[in-house]
Amino acid sequence: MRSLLYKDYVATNGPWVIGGFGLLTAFICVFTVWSTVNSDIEVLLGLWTPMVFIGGCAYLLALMSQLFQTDSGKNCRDYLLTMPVDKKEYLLSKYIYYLVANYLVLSWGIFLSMIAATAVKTEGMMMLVSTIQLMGPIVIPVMLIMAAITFPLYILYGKKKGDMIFSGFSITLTILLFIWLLFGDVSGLTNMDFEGNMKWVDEHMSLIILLTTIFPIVTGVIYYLSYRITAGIFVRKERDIDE
Amino acid sequence: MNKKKDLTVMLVFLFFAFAPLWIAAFAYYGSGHVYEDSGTQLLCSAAMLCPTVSVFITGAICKEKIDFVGENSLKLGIYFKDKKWIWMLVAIFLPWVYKELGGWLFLAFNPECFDAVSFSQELGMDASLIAVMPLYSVVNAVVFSIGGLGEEIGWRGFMMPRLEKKMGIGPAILVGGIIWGVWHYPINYYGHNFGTGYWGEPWLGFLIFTIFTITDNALLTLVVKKTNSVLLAAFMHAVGNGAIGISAMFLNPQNLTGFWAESTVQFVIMMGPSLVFGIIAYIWLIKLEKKERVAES
Repeated sequence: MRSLLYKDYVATNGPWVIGGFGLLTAFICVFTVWSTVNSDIEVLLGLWTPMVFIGGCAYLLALMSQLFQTDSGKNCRDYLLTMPVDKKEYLLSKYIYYLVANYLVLSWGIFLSMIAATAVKTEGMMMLVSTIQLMGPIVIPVMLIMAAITFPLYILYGKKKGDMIFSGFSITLTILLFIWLLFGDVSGLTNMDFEGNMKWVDEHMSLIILLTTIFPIVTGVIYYLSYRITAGIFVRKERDIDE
Repeated sequence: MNKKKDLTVMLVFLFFAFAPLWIAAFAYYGSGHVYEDSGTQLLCSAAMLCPTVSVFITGAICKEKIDFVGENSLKLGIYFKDKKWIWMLVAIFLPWVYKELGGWLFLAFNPECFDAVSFSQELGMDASLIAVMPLYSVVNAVVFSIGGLGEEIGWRGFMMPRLEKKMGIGPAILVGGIIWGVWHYPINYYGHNFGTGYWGEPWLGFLIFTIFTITDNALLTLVVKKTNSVLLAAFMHAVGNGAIGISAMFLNPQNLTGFWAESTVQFVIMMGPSLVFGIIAYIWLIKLEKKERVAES
């Protein structure tokens, strides 16, 4: 298991990614120190911190496909599975690696918000920074649910077909979104105001608490079931790799 | 030669675990900041990672092999076989149980502190959701457990096995607990756990906190031994730090005066059940060690 996880770490350019995340953290630190001498920087800090966290989430989205990219090379997975590696173990390594990556990105986001919070003084900017802590436990489970859907596709149908199915699904969603934007009722979007949204959050604190409690648990169950079901099929399935 | 190397490894580890927190805390609060400032959260969270960072620095300096899983490793694996899942549930929910018991114990001593409305009003949520709050705090603590993991890798994954090998489990729990407690002193000094202005400040706070870290060390070490995983200890640590019991939501300490208003007294009563569980864990560990010795001989 350890070797499989290390293989994924190297194959997905782990050291470079960690370096990149380190640089982003340094960037936020510089802004934090700078804002103590120049109060205008506070606005940038308040805006950039959630953006940097969103960048981290975008990386997680890319990692989903990247985890299977190197294994989809010519006969790569075939070769891997001729080694003394259990098929289940191989699959488990992917699920664990992705889970750990999510845990680390979320923890990193929380640290970023803590760093920014030391310099941010105005209430609006503080709210922006604290959205990471509020939304993190909802955004990260969404990533895990997406992985729970896409990993079986990659494993059972191969990288190319998996990508095609996933892209098809994403494009359909985007088209539906465009149709809604063009012909639907978008008054909610045009009249959206930040303070109103934050007020809504304050008024619906019960719902937020309920969501942030139940959502990670449900996600955990879905993620685990995804692994168990995929492992069950994968073990029985003849090797059928797209390349 | 080996004894000398073991001592060097331990001293290097302790230096790099202690120095960043002690220097940062005295520099931050010494420059005019107070415990209530927003920087405290960052300071405490970053400090919790120091023991882990120290493990890797020690490994590099002393050329000590650091394995993540397996025998003599940091025990970063997670195992479900041999009914280990029971211990997982214990690790995640026990801190909430002892905090709950402590809260109700405190309310039993101070019924005038019972306040059914102010907390839920303050949070702006339905009173019916109070029942969900413990689960909410447990889930959140597990999700945000990186700080707990940062400490556990260092203390329970690296330090405790070495102390245990050197002096046996009983003294190791005491020594390890004291080291862990002393590590917290700078932030305790500036208001962590007990605030400021309490009777006997800061020595009484130090003493009480060290007793708590010794018993908590026993509990966490037992969990690591039973699950063979530091991750579960990290979850337990995080839940212990962050869990809110239902009792805490009905407790309004504003009505307290005199002896009961002392933060040290409140801490002792509220953490009392955890001390009892810690003593049970200590006895359990001693018995386990005896069993292992008999099996070996």
